Amino acid sequence: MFLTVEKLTHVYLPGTPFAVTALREVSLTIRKGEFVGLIGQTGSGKSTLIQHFNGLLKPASGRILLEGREVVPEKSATPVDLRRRIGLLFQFPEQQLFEETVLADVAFGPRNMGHTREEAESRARDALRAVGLSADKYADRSPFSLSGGEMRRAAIAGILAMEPEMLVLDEPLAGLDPGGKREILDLIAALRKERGLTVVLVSHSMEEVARLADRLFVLSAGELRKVGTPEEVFADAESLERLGLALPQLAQLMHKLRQAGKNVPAGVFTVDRAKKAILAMLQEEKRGLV
Amino acid sequence: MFKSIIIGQYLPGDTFLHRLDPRAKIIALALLIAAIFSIRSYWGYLVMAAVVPALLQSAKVPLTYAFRGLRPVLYILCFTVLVHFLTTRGGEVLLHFGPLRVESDGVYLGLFMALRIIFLVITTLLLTLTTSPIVLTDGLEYLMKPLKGLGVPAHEIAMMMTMALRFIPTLMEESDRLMKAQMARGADFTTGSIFHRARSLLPLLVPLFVSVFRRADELAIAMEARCYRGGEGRTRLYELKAKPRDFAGVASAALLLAVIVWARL
Repeated sequence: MFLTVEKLTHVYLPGTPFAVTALREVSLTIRKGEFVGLIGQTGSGKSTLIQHFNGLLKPASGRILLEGREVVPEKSATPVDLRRRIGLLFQFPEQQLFEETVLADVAFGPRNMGHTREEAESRARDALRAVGLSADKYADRSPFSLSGGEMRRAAIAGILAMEPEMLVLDEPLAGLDPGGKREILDLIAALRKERGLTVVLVSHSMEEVARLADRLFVLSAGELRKVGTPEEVFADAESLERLGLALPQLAQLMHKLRQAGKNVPAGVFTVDRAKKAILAMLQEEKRGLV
Repeated sequence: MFKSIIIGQYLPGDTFLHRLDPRAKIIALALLIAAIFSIRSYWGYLVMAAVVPALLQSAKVPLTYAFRGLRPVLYILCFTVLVHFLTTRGGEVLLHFGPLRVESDGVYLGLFMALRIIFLVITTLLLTLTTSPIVLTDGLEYLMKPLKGLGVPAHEIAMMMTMALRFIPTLMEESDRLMKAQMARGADFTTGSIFHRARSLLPLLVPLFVSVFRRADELAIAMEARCYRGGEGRTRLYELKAKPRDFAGVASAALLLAVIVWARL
């Protein structure tokens, strides 16, 4: 097990009339090298959960283990090593860019890890290359002169430059056009392959994560409601809809076909498998008629 | 991060104090503050100690919650008490320690001033905890109207306050998020020398300023798109109308002030 979460409960503003329990006894494990999708509606506790992974939030109860060792968020000492191993990219990460040049911004993380300027900048160049921004062209530009998609890539590079073992991305596709979304998703898939990263992708949209994730965690109202492969999770369409989550379009189509009494398997969500299943169903019906 | 700040934090509810007209509450608060400053002896505080918790109770504000509002003034309180204890002379000598002396008048005055601050803060909290910021600025705008003749831009001030108040929670959330985002990149805001720490705020302040200007720009455009042109000829969605209970509220506050002044409490 790479990361283990045990009965994690988190309460915002405890002891005030505004207290909200954002997470209730959430337990889960993430394996090394796994691609995990974390899905839930807005306000379901996804962002709260991932901020516990690198010690940014302190649990009200429960604990988090990184390779068997407890993650202890200390207020005084920043757990730099933890932050390095688990790279957390916040929502709309382009808003965190601040340096004068793209290179300096991407090097911010490695500099904080205690690397020399040269080391940090060489890591930054590698990271920029990895996200598809050629260092020669972008290194000396102001981050504020980039386009939205480029800024997001630069922000991802800022996390990659720390060379994390696990990459946690909070809604990395929010606000991008379909082309931009596909580019970022392809980028994440490629990074995982090249660097052997463990990836946690947070999203409210099934469509985005289904294609890449090995396993899905479904959160609702602060509780973990479902765990399984995308096939397993999508097979139970009714309960997902009750949680306010829309199935990927193809899974919806297959679900509707099943509801109409057609004989197709549950949990199919890719074009290939859907095509096969529908053709098989049609052929079977034809045979039945003859 | 910013959770201990409750001055100005509105506690929604539907009690007598919540329903009171904001103008009545502002005037009543001014009268109560005057009353607190007119107190001459501990008897006066005894009266306030009966009135203020009763008001908190009626507004369904938990007592512990009101006391939490004192946290920001804790240093001022301690400082006041300490200075009076050590410097005010007169009466018996209670403690003698090297060059330091605590005399009974100092103790009397130190505690007196501390009580004054405590009551001032809690009474003010009574207003801000029971009145939403928007309603509060509405009330202020009405009360400032007579000053328009003197060239005070009442509407503009109120609008600015409304917007500032509106964006405080947004900006707090945003700085919290940015702080965490930079901490995730290994930024450290809590250790090092003051100079080092001030420098370490740059990664927080630059993006925050960028977003503040962006927000301000968007807000201005959104307002102009809806034909906002300042206070001239502008009508309101909610007119404030004074009801008998509002006069009763102001009258009771005035009565309390009168009692304290006349009885020389």
